[in-house]
Amino acid sequence: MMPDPPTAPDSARKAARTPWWSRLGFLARLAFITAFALAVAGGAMLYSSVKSDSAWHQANLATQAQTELESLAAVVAEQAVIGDYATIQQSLSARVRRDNIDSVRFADAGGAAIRAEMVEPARRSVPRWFRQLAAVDGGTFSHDILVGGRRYGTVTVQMSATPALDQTWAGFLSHLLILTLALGLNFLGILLTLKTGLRPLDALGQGARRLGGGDFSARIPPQGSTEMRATISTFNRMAQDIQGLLAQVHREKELAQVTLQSIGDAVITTDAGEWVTYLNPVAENLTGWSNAEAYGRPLTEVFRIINEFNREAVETPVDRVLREGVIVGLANHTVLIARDGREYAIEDSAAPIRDRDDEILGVVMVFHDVTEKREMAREMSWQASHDPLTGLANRREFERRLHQLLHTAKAGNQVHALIYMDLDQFKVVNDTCGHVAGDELLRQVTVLLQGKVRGSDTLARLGGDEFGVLLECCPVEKASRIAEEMIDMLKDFRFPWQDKTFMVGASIGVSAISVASTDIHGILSAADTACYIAKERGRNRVQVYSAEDAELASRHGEMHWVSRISDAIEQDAFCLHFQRISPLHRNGREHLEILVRMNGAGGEGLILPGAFIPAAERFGLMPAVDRWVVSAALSAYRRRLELGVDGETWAINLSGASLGDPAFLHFVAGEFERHTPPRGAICFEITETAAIGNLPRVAAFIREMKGSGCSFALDDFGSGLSSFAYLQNLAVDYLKIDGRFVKNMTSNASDFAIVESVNRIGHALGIETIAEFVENEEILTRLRSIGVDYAQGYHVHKPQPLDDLLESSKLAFGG
Amino acid sequence: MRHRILALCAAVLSLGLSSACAAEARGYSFGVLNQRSALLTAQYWNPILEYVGRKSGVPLELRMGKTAPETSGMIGRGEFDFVYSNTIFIPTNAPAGYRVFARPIEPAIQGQIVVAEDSPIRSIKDLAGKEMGFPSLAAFVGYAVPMNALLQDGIKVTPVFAGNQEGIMGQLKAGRVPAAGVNSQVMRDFARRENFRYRALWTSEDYFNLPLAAHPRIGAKEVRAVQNAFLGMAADVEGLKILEASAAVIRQSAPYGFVGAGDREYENYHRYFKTTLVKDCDGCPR
Repeated sequence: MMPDPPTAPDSARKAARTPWWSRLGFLARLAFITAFALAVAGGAMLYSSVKSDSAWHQANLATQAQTELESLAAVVAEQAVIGDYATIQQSLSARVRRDNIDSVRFADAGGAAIRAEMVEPARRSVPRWFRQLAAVDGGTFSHDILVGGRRYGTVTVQMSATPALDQTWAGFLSHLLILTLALGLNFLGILLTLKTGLRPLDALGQGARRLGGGDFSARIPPQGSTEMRATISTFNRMAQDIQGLLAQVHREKELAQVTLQSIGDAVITTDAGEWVTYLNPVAENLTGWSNAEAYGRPLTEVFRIINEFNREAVETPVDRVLREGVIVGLANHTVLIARDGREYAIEDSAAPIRDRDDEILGVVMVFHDVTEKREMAREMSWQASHDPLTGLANRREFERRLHQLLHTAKAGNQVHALIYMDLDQFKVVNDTCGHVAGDELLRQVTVLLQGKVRGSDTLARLGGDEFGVLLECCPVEKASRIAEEMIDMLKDFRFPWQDKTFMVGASIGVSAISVASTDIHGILSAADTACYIAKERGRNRVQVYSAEDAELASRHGEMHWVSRISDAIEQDAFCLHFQRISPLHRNGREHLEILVRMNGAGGEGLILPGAFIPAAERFGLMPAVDRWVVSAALSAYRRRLELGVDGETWAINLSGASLGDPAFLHFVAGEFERHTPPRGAICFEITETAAIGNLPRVAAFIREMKGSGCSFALDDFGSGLSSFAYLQNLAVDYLKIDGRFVKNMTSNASDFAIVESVNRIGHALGIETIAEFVENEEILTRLRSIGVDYAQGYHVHKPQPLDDLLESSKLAFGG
Repeated sequence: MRHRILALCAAVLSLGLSSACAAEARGYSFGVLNQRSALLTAQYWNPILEYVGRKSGVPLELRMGKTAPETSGMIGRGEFDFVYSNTIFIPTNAPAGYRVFARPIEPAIQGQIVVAEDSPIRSIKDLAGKEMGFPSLAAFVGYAVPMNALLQDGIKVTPVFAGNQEGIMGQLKAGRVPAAGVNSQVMRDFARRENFRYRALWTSEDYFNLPLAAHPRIGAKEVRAVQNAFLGMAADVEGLKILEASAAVIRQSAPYGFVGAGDREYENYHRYFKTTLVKDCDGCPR
């Protein structure tokens, strides 16, 4: 909607404010300027002329007076000497007949005077003001008559200014007449020139009025002066351009209309008063208003938007656009209420419509239905932050909220708590009854736990059987009580599955979220550590983390190994050593065990595996370490082969975690393909604990790798929950008798009995035996006496770098 | 003194100037015969009279008539206290009793009949029947003496009067008159001043130029004081400067100053008036 043109009273007021000068016509202006200039110049000239004439006359009067006096003195002197006063009187009278002398006077030395005056003074025709302007004064002049040093008297002449004034006045009138004549001629010239010259202007005016009235075909025949012809020609071109432009604008307008009608977005335009001026079909569909119905209505009536969360009305972006003059987007979560009450989630932007002067004429608002998109985004957002099985927050969301709580704790000095829970029997259920049962168990436990937390708290599933709870504004003591309640609740819980019923236990670690907390990893790590301690201390219990707790701190110290081990893997900072395992009978094959070491930083020296393996196992890094060892060992073995050494069996240790990793088997198979060790070259050592913890997988691994020519040794046999029954399922080739029994076997009868039993059972099952920790000859002799197949220990061989072995083979075989 | 003041007042009243009496009573009148214009006369005499008046303590004031006859008449009537005129010797003026006490130091003068140097007139006989210029009837050596010589030679001329000596010399120079009777000294000065060349057709015996004389009513003390001032003037530096300046006005040549004189040195004036054939000159017997 365009603003109304100014009304008549507005024009009158505007005209009243317009300076009088602006209301004058061109002719009047020109005449005024010219007259003013001429009048000023002429006035100055007249003034200057009068003053110049006056000065000349004044000077001339003085000169005349002086001349007159000198000549009079010469005439009178003679008579004065002889005392002929009558003649003097005649001489004086003769002088005053001149019209520039008012009177002449002679006074003799005694003071007697004779005077002659103008009988009829010249009539003064000069106006009083002019006399004042000219300021010519006749003046009185005197001259002493001195003859031979004697003064005979004084002659005095009173000069008349009248003739000078008359002449000056006449000159003034003459100049005035010329000036008036010049003014008249000037006006006449201007009038004639303009009358002729303005005729084309009238034609231009008529043409402009026709143009203004919408007749864009208006053209004016060229006429008048060269300048006017050029102006008319320009006008005609302008009219032609306007005609062309209008046609183009019309076309573009139609195109714009069609475009607006066609585009997929809804478009609403308003004027600067927020009255609707246009809706395109999409906008009609979404708002439920037709263009015709909506036209002229307030925007807020047609375009009703609310916040989808609080259902409160939202300011339209048009307000901001008009207020700030910038492009504005809709607030998030905006919902459009259509005329029929239907709701559409929309996204929108609004922009000002400006004229050439950058004035805002109105606003164009573009929006589209994003209901589906927003629902999809919501769903994706939910999925990204939640565990699909339990519907709880996932680890990422949990960490995000933990971060927020940490922030509030630091900002507001509030104390919150984190509960870290690990279900104890989940693995059993999962392994025994399958994933379906495990999933169901998790769902039911979730329901139980949800009953124990407030709406403001966060219950999340952090991993397989790990749960986390964030308790807002909750001190650790209270959190600990809640955790205890959870433990009690789970103790009472029974999970029936098919024909079995399982009891579920949990270990819980609690840590505080306070201003003293460093970061979320520290908080999580603390709770995890506390949970670990709870497990260590017998499960089904709650452990609150305390930094002062020496044991906890020690455990916590292992955490530092995580990064060191990770860095060592990445930076190839491990190295391999080996220790020989000697056959105790003649046809035994040469064995050696590959041992891993870590290169310490900065003079730290070699770090033995006892320092970092527990941490690597604890924090799930063993598969990575094992991969490095397998790869490096196979590579070294190939080089040894290349140097001509064959017939050795290298024993490589594998952790339980690696064996439980399905991908590890794939990796090892790949390495075997790459390095192609000969059959019997590699023996994998598996601890009894690891083997029993992952029995199915370990069995599968053994089965698979035996196909590739590998042998297997069961390490530390006798130390754990050794079950001879497992030996039948594991199909190992060697049993390594736990060194704790071996090293004391010569002094401790029970240890000797165990060593002997294990050796016998092994042999009974067709498995060769290896004794560890053989530290002296006596042990070696006893082992040999009882028929143990291999011996390993410092008495046999002390570990040394594998590189030494490779170097020695070079020397031995000239490689 | 009373008579003098009355006479002055009468003269002033004749001019219609009632307020002039008091002014005229301030000094002794010093009448000068009109030999030149009143202006030149005043320019010549006023400095001298101011000096003499100051030196003698007898203030002198230049007086003269409009013409020489008028001045001569005034001398005859004893209107001047002192005079510089030779008309004191004519019979009509002699009763006034003016007594000579000094004269200019210049040599004696002569009456002359002169013509322009290039004039065809060669002798006074050539003047017979012609117009001849004279200063005035009052001019003794300029008219009375030459005219007497012409009459005694039987030569008749038609006299033309210019009013004074300067006038007739001017007319002679201008050619208005073929010849003129002149004072030889004045003529000489005129010719030098005006660069006029002339010839003298006739020259009289020597006559001392105009004498300085005092009226008998003036006390001997004043006369002596005035005489001493005049006589010492040329010897006084200031007086000599005044004399030279005044001489320059009329281009008078040296020597300047005055010497003492008496009636005896002017005896030939008396003789002339007793024997002259001229009847119309001022003072000449009719």
